[in-house]
Amino acid sequence: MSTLVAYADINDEEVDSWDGVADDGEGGGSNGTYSVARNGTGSLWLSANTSYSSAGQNKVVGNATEYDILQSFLSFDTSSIGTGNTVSDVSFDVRAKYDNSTVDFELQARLHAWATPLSTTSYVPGADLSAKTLLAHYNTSSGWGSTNLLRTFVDDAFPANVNRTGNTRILVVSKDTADNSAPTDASNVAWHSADYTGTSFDPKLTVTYTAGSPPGFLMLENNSGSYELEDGSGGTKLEN
Amino acid sequence: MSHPISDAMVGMTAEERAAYKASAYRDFPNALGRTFTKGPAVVTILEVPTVVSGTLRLVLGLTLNGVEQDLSGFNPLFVHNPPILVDDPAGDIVRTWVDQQGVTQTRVLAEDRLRALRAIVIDALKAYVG
Repeated sequence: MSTLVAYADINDEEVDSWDGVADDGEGGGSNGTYSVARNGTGSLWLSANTSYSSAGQNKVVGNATEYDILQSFLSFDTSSIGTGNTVSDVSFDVRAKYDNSTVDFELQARLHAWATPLSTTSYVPGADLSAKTLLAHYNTSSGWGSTNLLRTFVDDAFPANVNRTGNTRILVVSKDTADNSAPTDASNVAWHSADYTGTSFDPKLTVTYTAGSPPGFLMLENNSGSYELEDGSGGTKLEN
Repeated sequence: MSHPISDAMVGMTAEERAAYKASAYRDFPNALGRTFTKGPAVVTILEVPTVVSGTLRLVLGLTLNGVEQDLSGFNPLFVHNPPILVDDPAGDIVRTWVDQQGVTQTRVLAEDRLRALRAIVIDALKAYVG
């Protein structure tokens, strides 16, 4: 058995979508629409060269109401595992940066082979999220905080979806975005990202894997005193 | 305070940076036998670190309250893209950026393989031992 700790590539970043209807600050402005933000058809913003990433949703009530959706994209090079090995356990960890939530919500890590470089077009419309495999989740009712605390996601289907020959790319979103549940207030959290830094606070995957059995044959002595070869599957029997 | 590894990695791809940092740990002086302590845990580097396909390979030992722990289900530990920086107010690497609200943010870091390696192995074993 071996352990791989893969720290996130430095290009982990965040794309935010909002309804595109900004509060004009003067008592004017018009209320935004959640569906526009969720679909990514309003305004999009790429958070690059920052020290943290966030995910979740936001309802900002000022002179006008604004909705935001925050999605974060991460990539881990897990190619050193190799196809011959079997992944038995995966732990996805981040270090908390801040909690901008007034209500608890569930973060979801979903499998998503996003293309590099990340851009605003990388935003995934909320209606498309459920089709992406749920790998792990974290409910902020378990705590988040703002003191660099280690937050470990609860596994759903990560081991079977680790890319053993390349990068494992994922997307972190709010379950509410996938469920088409509009926020009633702020519900987003942030963590330290690898982008622009490169410390032990970076997001990481800890993968436990076992070496697979190489294709081999079992040599058996038969009643006649000669030998037979049997493949490892118990199928084909070969006589010498 | 200097940051030779960070300087050398300017212009490298993510893959090249990961491999270069792994090599920096392989070449870390007196790595074999080095210990890191946190509370009741003492972690020891049991083999000379190597690099396999750009990934750092470590073999660790662990005692808890002086009792040796079985790490046969853990070793060897491979670390891809190992961090070399640590948060340090006295550091000389300053990252600034403007956030979505237009506010300038700052993070001060130092290049310190020893402190970074300590965090790597402690975190990895914490996840394994619980």
